Amino acid sequence: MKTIKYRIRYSKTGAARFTSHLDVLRALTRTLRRAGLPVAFSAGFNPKPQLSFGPPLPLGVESSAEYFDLELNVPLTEAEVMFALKQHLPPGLEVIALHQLDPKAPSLMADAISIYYQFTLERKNPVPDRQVEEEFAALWASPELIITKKTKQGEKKVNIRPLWKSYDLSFTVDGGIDFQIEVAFGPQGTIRPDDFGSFLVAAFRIEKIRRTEIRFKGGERRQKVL
Amino acid sequence: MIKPWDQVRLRVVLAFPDLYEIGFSHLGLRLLYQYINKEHYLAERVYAPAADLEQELRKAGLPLFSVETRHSLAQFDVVGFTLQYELSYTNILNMMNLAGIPIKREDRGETDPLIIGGGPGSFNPEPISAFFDLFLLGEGEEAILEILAIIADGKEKGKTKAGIKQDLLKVEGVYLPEFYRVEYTDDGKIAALHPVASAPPVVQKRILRNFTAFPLPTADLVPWIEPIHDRAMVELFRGCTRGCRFCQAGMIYRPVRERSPATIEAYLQNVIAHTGYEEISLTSLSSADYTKIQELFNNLTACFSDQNIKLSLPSLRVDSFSPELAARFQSGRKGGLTFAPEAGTERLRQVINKNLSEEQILTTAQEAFAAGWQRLKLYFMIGLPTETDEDLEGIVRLAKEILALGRRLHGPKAGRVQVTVSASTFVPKPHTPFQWRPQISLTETERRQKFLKDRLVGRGLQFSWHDPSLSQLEGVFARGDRRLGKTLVKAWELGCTFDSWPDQFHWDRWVEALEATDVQVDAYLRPRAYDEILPWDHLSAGLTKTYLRDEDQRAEQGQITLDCRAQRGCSTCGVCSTLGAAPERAGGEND
Repeated sequence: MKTIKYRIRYSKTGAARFTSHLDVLRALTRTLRRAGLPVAFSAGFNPKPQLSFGPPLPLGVESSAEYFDLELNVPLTEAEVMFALKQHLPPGLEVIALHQLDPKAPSLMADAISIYYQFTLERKNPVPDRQVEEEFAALWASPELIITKKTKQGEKKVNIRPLWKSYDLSFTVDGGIDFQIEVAFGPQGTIRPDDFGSFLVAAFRIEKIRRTEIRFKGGERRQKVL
Repeated sequence: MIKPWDQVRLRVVLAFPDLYEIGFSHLGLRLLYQYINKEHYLAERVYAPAADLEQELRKAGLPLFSVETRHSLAQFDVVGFTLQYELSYTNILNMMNLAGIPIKREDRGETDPLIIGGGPGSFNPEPISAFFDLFLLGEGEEAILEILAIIADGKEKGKTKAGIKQDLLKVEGVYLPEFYRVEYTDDGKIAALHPVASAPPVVQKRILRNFTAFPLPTADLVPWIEPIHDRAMVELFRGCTRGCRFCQAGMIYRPVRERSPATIEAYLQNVIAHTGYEEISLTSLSSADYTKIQELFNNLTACFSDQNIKLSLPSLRVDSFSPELAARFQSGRKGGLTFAPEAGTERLRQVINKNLSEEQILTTAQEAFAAGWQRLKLYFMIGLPTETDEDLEGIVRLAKEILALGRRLHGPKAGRVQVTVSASTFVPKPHTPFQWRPQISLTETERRQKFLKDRLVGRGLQFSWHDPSLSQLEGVFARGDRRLGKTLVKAWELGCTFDSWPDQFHWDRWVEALEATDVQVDAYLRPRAYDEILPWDHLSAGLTKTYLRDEDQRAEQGQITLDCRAQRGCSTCGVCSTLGAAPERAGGEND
């Protein structure tokens, strides 16, 4: 049967940030059933709803850029699907945007090239803004940033610097710091925000981490649609 | 569901004294949650925190709080614990303590919540009676609302707890332990049980008289994280009258009352639309006994198959199993199939009134293998009344015969056939015909387990068993009395919680607690004389003592007693006459 694909962008905030990827998947499956959407199922002994997800979000991180692709058996308008989802999503999950997708569009995982994370920080010591700026500039200038990864074979040292693509720093009126980074995503690897955080904890308290954007190969044009 | 904290008459927190993953799966609390929230009350939930969360709470000085609005348990008017198994009792004390509520009733004041209990444990709550204000015996749907109305009225009229309790005495099924005084003889038995003031001499269990017509909730909870049973559930019927003599559930939930297929379908359609669950469990004590199982199944398939919703039927009996039925409820891969012959010989099965012939068991196994199943699990109990080594030998023989059968039928795939024997230790329970029987000792349990372990070896055979000390403790508390309250406190002070989890069970600490409070395990596992006063004699499940005694004697003689549903007459258990109830069948043909 020919199915119709939709790409949905949603947010995950509040206590929902402590819900794991698999648990969100189950919650979304149930949302679709409650919403009465004509979801396409896989064939076989254990039919599964045809859903595919973007880059998994680490536990405890909020997001305003979560994505999933959904296949329906019946063509519904974008507004109809959007409305159905809005009505039935559990607290903490909210649809931000939705659009119909070219059936030949690459999967979210194949399409994503970079991810933005925003760290809400507080200074551990009362240092002036200028010094904070310098510290981040120095971090950006480091030739390598080594983290220790636990693997089955034991611990492994990895340089994450090549995967860090850009940053943006701003100060809030109450003295807080918003620090945003862009990290690569793809076969070359990615940076987990908690790994990156290990370079911040000496000088800052991390109040919150939020995924704010995902960039896709399709570039700005598809971004605009969303 | 979040209701405004300040705009309700009464706030209740429903507490399950085990982990969220276990507690969430419990249908009873989910039902009460809906019924209470439908009224001008608020019901929230709480589960036992795992050790890591407990540590964090204690470190941060935070009280144990409710799931919904994170209020401390101490801020609720009523804390309702469900008493599902004896080995959860230390968790109850721990949860109260974590919320800063004094664990003993006598230490609690007017501003502390009322602590109430329900569930099967209410049928002998004596070991925990010092910690609770009230127990409800029997079915809670209507009773909880009556109880809450009395408490709310009392609070609004400025009554004290004592005044409110006086009013609660009138509610059918309510047991207030402080209104009963127990005297003991010099040799440690019970000399007398005195009701105080206007308390009834015997508390009769509550039943929902219009169970089959009583409206089911229109909503259900959906969990974020995955509990053990992650699905919509509906009771096809309540009660079971098969009459297995060891089974407490089969005795205390009588009579059998079957809902109509139409009621069940309507409920499920609504609940699936509201929750989005992908699986439905048709629960009951022996679901395949449901009179209209085929009709129900056909209708549910018609309703739900296009939504890809699975149906599951737990607790299949050997004699009601058919490969067609099982196959219909099993979609996808064929996992394992579990049967419970309970005892290894036909003689012993007659003693316990689980009337399965060897032939029936083998035929069922054959059908299951022929239908494609490769793994069978067989549940047995050891230590049943009159059991000898011959009966244990019977378990081994049966398992081996079933294995051989499976190998023969699976031919080239014979190597994949697996028969698992799981043996738990029989614990005599109150309100059953075996309530007077002894429980086997620790050393005897170990001997019988070893007997099986030594013989159930070889390719395709597996044996699993329960920690024998756990069963000893369960036995002590199952038929325990008020004197065990001290022991429970001591064990909890020594750090016991989550006793039903074998990896968190500390028998050494329990031994210390038992010794420190002068309790002999044997004194609780010993046989009782028919004329001895039992700790739960003032609590009734509606069964007459004569019936229980007659059944025990029939057991001794290996005489079977038929199911009262089988239209061959009533076994005169007393439930219907005592409680003004009657068995109801979904076809309408009342016995």
